[in-house]
Amino acid sequence: MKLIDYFSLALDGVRERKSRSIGAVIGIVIAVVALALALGIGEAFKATFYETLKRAFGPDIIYVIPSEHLTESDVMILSSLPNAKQVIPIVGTSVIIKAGTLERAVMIYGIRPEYLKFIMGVDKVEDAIEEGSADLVGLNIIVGEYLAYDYLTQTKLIEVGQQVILQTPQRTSVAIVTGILKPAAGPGSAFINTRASVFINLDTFFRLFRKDMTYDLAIVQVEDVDKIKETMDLIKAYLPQAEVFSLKFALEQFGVFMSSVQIFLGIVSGIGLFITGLWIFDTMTINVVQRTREIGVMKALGFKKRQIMFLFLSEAIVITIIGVAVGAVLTIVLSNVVGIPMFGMMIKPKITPGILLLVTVTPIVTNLVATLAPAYRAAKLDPVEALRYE
Amino acid sequence: MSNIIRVVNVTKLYKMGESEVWALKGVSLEVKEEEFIAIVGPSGSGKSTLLYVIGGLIRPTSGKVYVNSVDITTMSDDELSEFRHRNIGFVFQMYHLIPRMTALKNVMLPLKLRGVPGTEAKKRALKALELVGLKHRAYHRPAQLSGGEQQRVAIARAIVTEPKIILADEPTGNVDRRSAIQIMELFKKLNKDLGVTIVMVTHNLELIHYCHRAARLLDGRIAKIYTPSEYRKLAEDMTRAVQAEAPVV
Repeated sequence: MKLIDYFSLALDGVRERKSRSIGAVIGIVIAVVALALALGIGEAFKATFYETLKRAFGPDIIYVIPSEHLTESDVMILSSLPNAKQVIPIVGTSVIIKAGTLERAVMIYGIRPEYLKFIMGVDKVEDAIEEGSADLVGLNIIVGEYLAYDYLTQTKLIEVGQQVILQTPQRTSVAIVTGILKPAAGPGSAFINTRASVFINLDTFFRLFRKDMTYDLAIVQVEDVDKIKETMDLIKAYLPQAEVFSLKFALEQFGVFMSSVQIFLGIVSGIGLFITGLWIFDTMTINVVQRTREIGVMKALGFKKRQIMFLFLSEAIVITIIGVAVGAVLTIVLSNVVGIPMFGMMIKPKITPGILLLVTVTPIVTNLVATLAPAYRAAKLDPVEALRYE
Repeated sequence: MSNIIRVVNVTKLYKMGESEVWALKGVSLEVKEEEFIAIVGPSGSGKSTLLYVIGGLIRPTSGKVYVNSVDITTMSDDELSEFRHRNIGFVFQMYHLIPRMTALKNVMLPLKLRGVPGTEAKKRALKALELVGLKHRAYHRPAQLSGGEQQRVAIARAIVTEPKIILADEPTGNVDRRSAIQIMELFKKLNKDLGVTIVMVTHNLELIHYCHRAARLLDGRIAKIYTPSEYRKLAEDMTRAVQAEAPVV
């Protein structure tokens, strides 16, 4: 018997039991859409944050977070490692900044002026400046845009050249705003919110806020990305208590987390598929009972067991393919309409070919498995008993 | 003519829980090619069981069944299916047409099973329907046909693959007298013109004269094989005897 004839007979069967078939198709559509959108949202979330991570963590960057502090000699040793291109030590503390009506707790970072472009991810330090200059000497400070402007009204809170007060529990200092930063984000943005922070010359920072001249963090840029693992191993050997990680590490950790989230979302949405499978099992079981005599006739005509079985499996495939096709179209339409607002942006489901393949294959496999038992029962029916069935 | 069917000492035991029923108790029967034979007998005598044993739908408990000199009792289920498809056309009392399919689609079904291409299958199915006089009803569903018409569609389905043997189980049992005669004329035509061997189970004594012979089954055994005139005489004698013993109301 030809494949097309199986499906033609299956289609006749599906048409005969319209209401049950439509019910099953609707169930499959809902299950497919739910699964695809759940996985799509997970995928979009993953893609968005991969991008953010890649921006925040350069591929040639190693972050070294000491258990307490890094000394100047630690920084020099890190700089002398074989693959180290440069080491950017970072130190920061919390202060209250007061300027006119503005009074806010912020982080202030001490930094060598030449490293600011690296932190901001620009080629020239001037490219990181929205207004004023990057002249980070003496008591000059550069502020992030969220400090310079009111976030809601966009009115200016700090002017270039303005005197501000920096207050800690130990001391109060005066500084002068020399520049306002652009909303840029480089490798430093993994740890420093450049938009809401204050930058000051490193020497000034030590003089005002940290007399012991130690650092909180070091960013190590390597020459050869392929040897980043070896460099990390050397750092770990030198600073066994420190947290040492790179983009690859961050992506791996994030990948593991997101895969777990996606699996969870998939399982929750997959319950719909399971229920659809039960519905198909129920429909097919009733189908076999209702068509017992028909099965007897087919056997009398010479249909073999596997042909009877395949006939019922074909019906499940026909119902599932209709459901999957409608579900896939609906998913693609909905993925362009629905979204989850998160972190100031709308994350829309990202329906990849892999997701489409999964939501196509899974219902077909599930429903085939669900149909196996009733189809086998049909195939095993005794022809004469089937013919006499009332 | 050589024997196309040879049933040798066939028994069939049905087990229902603890009880056992012997439907056939050593039946032997030979049917020649192009013969039209009736199997008659009272209800429960094993007529249908014998028919289904010959058609490979029921496996005998013991004995042999040869069709075209091939022992079908040793065949696997799949081989039996193939054997039925290639050699046998079944006609049932209840027609057993598939309700959702038109007459044409019902007749095309065995051809589809054989893998005959659509247009060729349709052509052959229409020819079969024409042979049974129902070409004009090809696109009607069974529910739109009379009992007699449904049975003729079932006959078209049985002959569309041009089998050598038709096994008919009470083919006129569910139709009116006029339709019964039409069906029997059709069988006669198939037997005479196309050389199809027909084995028919029936209760209807009026129809015996269409057959060459009638095998009478009694309690799972062949009591005697009659010519149509012998069997009609036996039936008339039995009817008279029953009427004589019946109380006058």
